[in-house]
Amino acid sequence: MNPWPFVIASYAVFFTSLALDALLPWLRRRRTLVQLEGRWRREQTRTHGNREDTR
Amino acid sequence: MNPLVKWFHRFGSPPTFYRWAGQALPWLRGAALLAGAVGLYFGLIVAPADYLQGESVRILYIHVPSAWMSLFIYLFVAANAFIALVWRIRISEVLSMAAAPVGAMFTAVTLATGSLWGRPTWGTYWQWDARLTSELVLLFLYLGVIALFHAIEDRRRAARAAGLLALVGVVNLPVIHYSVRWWSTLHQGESVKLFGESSMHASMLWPLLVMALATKLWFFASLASRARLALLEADSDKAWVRDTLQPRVTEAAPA
Repeated sequence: MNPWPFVIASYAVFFTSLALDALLPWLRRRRTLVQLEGRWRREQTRTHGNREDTR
Repeated sequence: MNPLVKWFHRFGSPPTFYRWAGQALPWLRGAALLAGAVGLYFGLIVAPADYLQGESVRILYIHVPSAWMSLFIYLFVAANAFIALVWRIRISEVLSMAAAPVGAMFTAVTLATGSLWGRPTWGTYWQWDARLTSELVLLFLYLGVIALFHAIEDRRRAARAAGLLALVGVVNLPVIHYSVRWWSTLHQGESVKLFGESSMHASMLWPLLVMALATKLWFFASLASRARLALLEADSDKAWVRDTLQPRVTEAAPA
C-alpha cells in the first residue's frame, strides 16, 4: 500500500488544525475589539455630545 | 503571605497577565514555527524511512508529539483547575479553560493521524484497543469540560464546575499511559523513555523531540492568545480594559 496519501492527509489534518487554532481566537478578538470600540464611541457621544448634531 | 502565592497573585492580575502574555505571544509563535520548520526538515527529508513501517513513519513526527501534548495539556488543565478550586486564583480558572480547546485539538489530531498511520501499517483505521479507546475517552473528557464551561452563564461558576470535571478525568491519564503495559494491545509499547534508553535511532529521535518542543511552544502561544481573549471578554466593563485598549483604538480610528 502506498503510504504517501496517508502521510499527506496526516500533515493536512495537522496544519489545518493549527491554522484554525490560531485563526479562530484571532477573529473572535477582532470582533470583541470592534464591539468595544463601538460601545466606547457611543458612550463618548453621550457624555460629550455629538459635534455634528450640535452644530 | 507566601512569596510564591504573592507572585502568583501579582502575575495573575488581569492587566499584568494581559500585557505580559501580549509581549510573549509573538516570540512563542515565532519560536514554535522555527522549531516546527527544523523538526519537519529533519523528520521529512533527513531522517531515513523505517525498515518495517517504511515512509509511513513520517506520520509519527506529528502523531507522537500531538499525543504527548494531549496528555500534558490535560494535566495542565487539571492542575490549574485544582489551584482555582483550592486557592480561588482567577487566572488559573482562565488558564485552565483556555487550555482545554487546544488540548481537544491535539487529541483529535492524535486520533486522526494515528488512524491514518494505522491503515497502511496495521491494515485498519480503527481498533477498540486499550490505548486508542482511552485516548478517545480523553477527547470526550475534553469535550465534556468545554461543553460544561459553556453551559453555565456565570463564567466563574462555569470554570469551577468544568474544573471539577477535569479533575475527575485525571484518572484516565495513567490508564492511557500504562495501557500498553497493562493490556495486550495492538498499539506498540513506548519507544521513547524519559528515564532509560530509547529504542529509537538518534536520526529519528531528534526530529521527534524538536517537534515535541515545537508543539509545546505552540500550546503556550495559543494559551496566551486564548487567555487574553477570555480576560478581554470577561472584563470588558472594567477600567483596565479601557485604559489598556482605548488609546490604541482611538489612535487607530479614522479622523
